[in-house]
Amino acid sequence: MYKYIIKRLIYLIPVLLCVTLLIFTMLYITPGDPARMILGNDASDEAVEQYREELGLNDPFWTRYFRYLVGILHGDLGTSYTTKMPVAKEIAERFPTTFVMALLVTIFGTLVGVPLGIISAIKQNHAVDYLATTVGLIFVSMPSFWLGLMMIVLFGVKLKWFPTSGWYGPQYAVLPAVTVGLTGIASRMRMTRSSMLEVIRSDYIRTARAKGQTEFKIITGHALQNALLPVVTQIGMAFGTNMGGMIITEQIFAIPGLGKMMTDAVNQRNHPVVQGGVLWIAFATSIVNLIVDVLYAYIDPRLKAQYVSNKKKKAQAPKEAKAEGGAAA
Amino acid sequence: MALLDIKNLTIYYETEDGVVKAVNGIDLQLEKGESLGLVGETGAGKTTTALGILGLIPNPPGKVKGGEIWFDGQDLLKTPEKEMRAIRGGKISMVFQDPMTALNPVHKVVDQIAEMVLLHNEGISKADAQVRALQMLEMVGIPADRANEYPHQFSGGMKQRVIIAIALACNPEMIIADEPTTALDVTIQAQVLDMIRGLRERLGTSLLMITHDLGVVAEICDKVAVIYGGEIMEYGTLEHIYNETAHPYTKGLFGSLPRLDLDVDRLTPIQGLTPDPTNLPAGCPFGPRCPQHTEACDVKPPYNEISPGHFVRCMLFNDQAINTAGKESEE
Amino acid sequence: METNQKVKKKSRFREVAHRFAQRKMAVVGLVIFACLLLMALFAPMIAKYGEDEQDLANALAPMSAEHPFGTDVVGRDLFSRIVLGSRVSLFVGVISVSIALTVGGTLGAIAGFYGGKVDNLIMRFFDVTHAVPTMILAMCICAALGQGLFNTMLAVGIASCPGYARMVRASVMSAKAQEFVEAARANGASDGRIILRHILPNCLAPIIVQVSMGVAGAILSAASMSFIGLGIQPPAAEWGALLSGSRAFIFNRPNLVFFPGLFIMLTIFSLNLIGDGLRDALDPKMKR
Repeated sequence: MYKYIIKRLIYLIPVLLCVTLLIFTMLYITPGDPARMILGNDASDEAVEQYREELGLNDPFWTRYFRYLVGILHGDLGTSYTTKMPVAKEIAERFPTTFVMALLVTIFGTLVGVPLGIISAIKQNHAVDYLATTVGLIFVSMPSFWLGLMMIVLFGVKLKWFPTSGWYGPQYAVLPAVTVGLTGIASRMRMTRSSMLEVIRSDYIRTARAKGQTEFKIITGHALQNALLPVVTQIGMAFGTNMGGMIITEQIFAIPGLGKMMTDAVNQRNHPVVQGGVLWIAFATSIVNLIVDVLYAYIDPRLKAQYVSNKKKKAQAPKEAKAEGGAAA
Repeated sequence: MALLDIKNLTIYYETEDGVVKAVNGIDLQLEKGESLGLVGETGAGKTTTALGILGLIPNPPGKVKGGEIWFDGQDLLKTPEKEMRAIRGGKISMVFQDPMTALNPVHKVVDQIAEMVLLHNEGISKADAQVRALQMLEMVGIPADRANEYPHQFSGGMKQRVIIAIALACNPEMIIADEPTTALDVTIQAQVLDMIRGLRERLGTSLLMITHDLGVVAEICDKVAVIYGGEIMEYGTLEHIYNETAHPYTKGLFGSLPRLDLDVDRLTPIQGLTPDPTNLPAGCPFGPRCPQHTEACDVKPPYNEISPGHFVRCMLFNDQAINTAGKESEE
Repeated sequence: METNQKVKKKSRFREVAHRFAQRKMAVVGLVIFACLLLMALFAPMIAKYGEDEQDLANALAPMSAEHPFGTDVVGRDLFSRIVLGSRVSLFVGVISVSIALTVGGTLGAIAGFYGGKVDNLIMRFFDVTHAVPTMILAMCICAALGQGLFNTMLAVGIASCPGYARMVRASVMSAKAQEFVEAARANGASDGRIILRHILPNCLAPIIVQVSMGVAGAILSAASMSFIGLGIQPPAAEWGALLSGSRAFIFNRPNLVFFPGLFIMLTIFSLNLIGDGLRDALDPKMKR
């Protein structure tokens, strides 16, 4: 298993390298001159030109890109055009807020959404199922920024249960977390339900019935683990979606997280901050994906057999395991 | 009294596209220790019958519309679910068609066998169940040191052996084998069939063998029932069916087989297609394809005993019936 | 025998339509979406006021018979703007998905059909984009391209390419493994013919489902872009922009935020219902 993790970590390097190249290129072709943006419209052309030179904006593309890469290796993500602070420091201040929120929301969404999906699947075509699927679909269809604003109106202004903006304590996290979380719960539920329905119809569930097993044990002992496999693979993606969701939601609730910093930076052509932010998000998403995949390999014996080194097994049935593994994949 | 006695069993699937009349009033008997082959084409209602016996018809859309299934003096259709669970696996167990999908991919092979043992032997310890599971594996020819592997590490033939081990784990009185060899390679088929026959002889288990392969039937079964359009067309001993073939459909099935002992240039296949089960003919289901079709076939033919133990559902044999009492057509 | 075959001759389309019609929620979705579509088609007739018709004396008017959804800060009728904006939102959704499907779908089909190095190259590229959440990718592309209707569609389209590529690749690969493809190849059919005649029709079901849900996702993404100030900008009547433009009045006039969002939600809800219904109707596993 260590081999697998190390392999995945090594594979992360070219991916992140490509992410930097992708974002760097994208921002390179972005219209608008950062120097002009910073100095304002009143600045003279010479001043702007001099500032461009200072920032190294006049160097060729590859020179700039490699300078940036070398910087990253030294932990230097550049300097914010607007605050003149090191980008790494700004991100370090803001990233944890967004990351922890997205992570908590993902875990919460999974813990609530998965059981709801299972209940909905077991009670297929009953009132409970109709209610759960319809309500779930409504939440999936809501723009998170709209949901957030409506929450502010309802719970912040009308009911005055929770504060609506700022970041001074756990009570400030409730509304934004629920905003992103409701969508997450709904989509986890939908996934689990369809996965569970597929498993319930499968042959091995019929085998379990033919053994005389009770319905409860069939669901918990046979169906659940199989149904969770595809759900687990989606958790990494859900985390990414929640990161995106948090970034929008932070705007609404005025949370000093990565989202606010990123959107401001995009609007101000503050390229180093955008690049650094995307790189960090990509890194975090990849790590979460990696953890999820390792977890997956532990609950799916078909994958586990490929990576857990078991010499005895390999010596005995190398051919069969390979053939079957290939067919299963 | 027969171990299994099915009377007038009728099972429909009520789908969005109409009512699929899968099983239409079939009668079947299986004596203790005997083996019965249920032969028919795809969609004839074989698997539905088997699932019906175990009470495993998926509902919705499936529904048992009528009939009785007597097993060991008990009507399974009137047995409460809790008792049925004890019968499933304990007294009647089933071997499914596709070994590739019939085992749970996330459980170890030995646990899947031990589960059966634990379910039907009250008070047995987990360790004892494991021991029993290992014995069963050895019995079906799988070395016990592979017990802790997962299904995907086994080949198709070995998976089917595991499934047979599960089915036999609690010494059932009857096994239903639903095309147990169809999904396997020919050489593996022969091995598995051989094993089923050997185990059956040793354990004295009754067998309901579902197949479309008349060769398999000849090898393993004592009696044969030919099913078509959800109805039994002909029922009798191997001798009756193979040497005194009566029903035109059974004849058609044999005509579709290559024979080494007869010098014929071409096979004589049955014309036409199997009937649409949502829209069965009003009379004999085989009528539209039957070479000996007459107007008389537009009403349901009765189920006649034409010689002791040899039943035929065909108008051609209406006047040869030796005993129609109690064997009237369901109409 | 004739009667037997007549039943089976129901065309695939009619069969799917029949199955779809039996799903109540799917029909509900279709009806809602049809209404929205009609609203977009006849928008100029439904809207009482022009898109930019200001009436400063009536600014921030509450909901009334004259202004069913109220008026905004410069006195424009919100109802009229929402009706007219439906054209923009639906257009953005359709075009973005077309872009994503054309680019992503084609790349996915090539990767799935040819496999090997080509597949590796294309899919590794999409792995890179996979590491960046779609929302953030769209944000960056949006920033790179600049604001405006077309750029937003392009950004949302490109950002959702990887999803389409993966989906098309997977269904092409499973269709390719079918025996009829081998049979066609044995008959000497060209690659192009095999893709168009044999593989594409078999990938259609998942594509149709993904497209119906994808339009919903694209409308949502575009609205989000507008909301954070990157996509289509006020005073354009795009729903996300309408909502974002009135954010400041959320405490006094929540209706200005509520209604544009409600319409976004209705559109997405109906498209998701249609997508769910189509998936069930097209799924051969549901057949018995």
